[in-house]
Amino acid sequence: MDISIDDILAELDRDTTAVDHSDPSSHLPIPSDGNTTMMNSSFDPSRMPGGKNRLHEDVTPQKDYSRLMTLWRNERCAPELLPYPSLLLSRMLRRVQEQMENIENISMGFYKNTISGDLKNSGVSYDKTNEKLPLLYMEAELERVKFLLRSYLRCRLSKIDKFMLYLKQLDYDETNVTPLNELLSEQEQVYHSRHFAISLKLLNSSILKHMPPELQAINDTEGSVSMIDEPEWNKFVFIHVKEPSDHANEDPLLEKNEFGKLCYTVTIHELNEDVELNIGGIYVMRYGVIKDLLRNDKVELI
Amino acid sequence: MYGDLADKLVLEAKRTKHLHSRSSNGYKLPMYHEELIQGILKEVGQLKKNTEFLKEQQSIGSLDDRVSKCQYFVTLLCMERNKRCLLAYQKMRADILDRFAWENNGLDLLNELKGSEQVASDLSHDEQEYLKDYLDLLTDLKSSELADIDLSGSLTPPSDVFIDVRVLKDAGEIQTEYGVFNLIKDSQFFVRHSDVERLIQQGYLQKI
Amino acid sequence: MSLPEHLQATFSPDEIQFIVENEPIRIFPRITTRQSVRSRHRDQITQAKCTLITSDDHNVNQMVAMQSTELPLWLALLLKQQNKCSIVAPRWLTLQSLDQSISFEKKNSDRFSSLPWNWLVLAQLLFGKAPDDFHDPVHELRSRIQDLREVRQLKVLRGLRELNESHLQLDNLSLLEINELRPFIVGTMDKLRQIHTATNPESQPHAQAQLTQQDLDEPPY
Repeated sequence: MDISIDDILAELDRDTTAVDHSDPSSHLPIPSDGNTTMMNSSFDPSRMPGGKNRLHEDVTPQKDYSRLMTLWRNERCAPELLPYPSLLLSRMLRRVQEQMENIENISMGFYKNTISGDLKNSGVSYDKTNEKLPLLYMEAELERVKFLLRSYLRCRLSKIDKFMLYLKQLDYDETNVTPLNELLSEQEQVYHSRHFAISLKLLNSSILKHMPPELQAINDTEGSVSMIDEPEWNKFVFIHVKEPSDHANEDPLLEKNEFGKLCYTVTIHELNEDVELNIGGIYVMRYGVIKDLLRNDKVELI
Repeated sequence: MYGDLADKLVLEAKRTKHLHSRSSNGYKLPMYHEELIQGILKEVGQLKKNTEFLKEQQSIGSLDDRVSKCQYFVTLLCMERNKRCLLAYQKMRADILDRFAWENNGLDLLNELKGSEQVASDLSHDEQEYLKDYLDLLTDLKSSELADIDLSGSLTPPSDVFIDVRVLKDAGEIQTEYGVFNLIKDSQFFVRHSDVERLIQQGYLQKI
Repeated sequence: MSLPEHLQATFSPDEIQFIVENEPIRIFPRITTRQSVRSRHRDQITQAKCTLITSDDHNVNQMVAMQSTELPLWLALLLKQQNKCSIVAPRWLTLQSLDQSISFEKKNSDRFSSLPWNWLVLAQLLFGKAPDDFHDPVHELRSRIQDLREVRQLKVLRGLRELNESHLQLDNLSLLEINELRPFIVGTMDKLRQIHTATNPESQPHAQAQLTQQDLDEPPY
C-alpha cells in the first residue's frame, strides 16, 4: 500500500468527516474492510447516491469497534488470511493510547484530591467508591479493546506462519489480485520475511545443505504432497447473511426469489449447483463459494 | 530397508507433537535426534550414488531399459521421502519452539536456556540459534507501536478488571498505579488484573 | 504458534461470552451520574466523566437512579457486581414466553423458534450474575432454558442426517449452539466433500501423478 504515515495521520485527523467504508451502506466498488479511504482525489460525493447524507455518517468509535469485532470473527473463521484494515487499526491503536493517557490523568487527579481533602470540606456527600466508578469502567473497557486487538493480531500472525511459503509465493505472483502489501500490515510483512529467513536458515543448516543440490528446494509443489500449504478454499464455514443497507435496490447482487424474498445467489461450481442465500439466514457453505460476498461485506462468518 | 530410519524419525515427531498438544506447561522438547538424522543423511548420500551408477549403466546400455528406469525412479522417491521426513521433523520442532517463545514471554526462556545445561543439550545448536532469532523478532514486534496492547498477553477475554489474588511465593514489591504492594507468601490483595497478569502466569500469584 | 491450537478452529466459551457482552441491555441504575446544574455551577470538583471508546458514553454519564436506561452488557454487569443497578430481564426470558418457545420447538420439527442469537449465553450470564433481578423463580427459568436447549439439540441431531457435501441452512441457530456444533458439522461436511471429489474424477485436480510420468520418460539429469 503506498500510503505514507503522513497520509494516515492526516486521514485520522479527518476522522469526523471521512466516509466510513466499513459501513455496509457504502456501495463504492471497493472492498469494504474499513481499509480503503478517500486517498484518491477522484472521490466526488455528488456522484454517489445519497452521497450528501453519507458525508455526515461519521467514523465513530462505536462503529470502528463493532467493525473490528466482525473482522476478528471473520479472521478466526476464514481459512485464508484476510486483508489488513490499516486505517481502522491505526484508529483503534490511537484510541487505546489516548485512553491510557486519559485514565492516567484521571487517576492522578484523584490522588491530588484525596491529598488536599477538598472534597471532605465541600459538603457534598462523598462516596469514594462511586467517585472511582468511571475509572473502573474505562479500565474494564480498555482491557476489552486490548484483548480484541491482541487476539485479532495473534490470529493473523498464526496464519502468516501457517501460510509462510504460500504468502512468499504470492509476492512473486503477478496475477495475484491482492498484493502482499495490502494483505499484510508493514509490521506483519517484516515479521513474515524475518520469520521466513530464520526458518530457512534453520532448515538449511540442519538438513538442506547436507542434501544433494537437486533436493534442496523447500517449495516443491509436485509429488504426492505439495510443500506449500495453501488455504483450504473449500472448507465449510458458517455464514450469516447480513441485512442489506437502505440502498438495497442499488445492489446488483441482490435479487428477489420466487417467494419475493431478497437473496444472493451463489454457485457451487464443483456440484454445478446454484444456492439462494436469504437475507438473515444462517448457512454452512464452502468458503470459496462465499468468498466474494465476504469481501463485499454481504455476509459475515460466525 | 531404505526409508526405515526416516520412518522412525517421523514416528518420533508424531509422538512429540501429540505430547505437546496435550500438555502445555512443560517447556521441554525431547532430545534432538542427531544420530538418527546423520543416519538418514548418510542414506541419502548412498542413494545418490546409486542413481549415478544407474545412470551410467543406462548410458552403456548394459541394463534392461524399463527395469533400470523403474529402479532409478524408486531411488529418487526414496531420497525425496527422506528429505521430506527430515524437514517435517525439524519444522515440527521449530513450531514448538515458536510456541514456547509466545507462551513464555521470551526472555525468561532465553535465560533458562543459558542457565540449564539440560534444556540446552536437548536442542541442537541450530535450534538454539533459531530460538534466539525468533525471540529477537518477537521482542522487536512487541516493542513497536503495538506495545500498548501487550501482544503476548492473555488470549482469554478479560472477565474482571480487579481481582483478589493470593501470593503463592514471595515476589518482592510491585509498583502499580494504585500503590505499592509487598508480595509476601500467603498474603492476599485486591489488585488490577493486568498489573499482575504476568505474576500469575509465572506462578507467583493465584487468582481467588 | 502465536495462537494456541484450541483457538484455531473455533471460539472458546469465554470468547462467545465476550462477543455477547457487547450487546445492549436495559437496566435500572441505583446511582445518579447526571450532573445537576447546581453542582456544575459550583466550580467544585465533580465526578470525573466516563469516556468510552467502544460505545456511546452518553447513557452512562446521564444515569438517574431508578430511571431505566440502556448500557452494553459488560458495563451493566460491572454495575450490577457493585450493586449499582438492577438488570431488566429481556422479554423472551420469562416463564410464559419460554413456555411458548418450547411449544413452538415441539410443534415444528423442521424449524427453530426465533430466539435472539445470544439467548443461551445471555440467560446463563444473567442467571449467574443477576439472579435477584428476575420476577420468575430462577430455578424454574433455568430448567425451562435447559428444556429448550434439549429440544433444540434433539432437532439438530435429527437434522444431522441431512448433512451433505453441498450446504446446510440453519436459520435461528444461536451463537453458542453453532459454536458447539461447528467441529462436528464442519468436520463431517468436509469429509463428505472430499469423498465426493475423490469419487468424481472430472472434478479432481489433475496434478496428481505428474512427477511419476515425467521421471519415467526422461531422468531430469
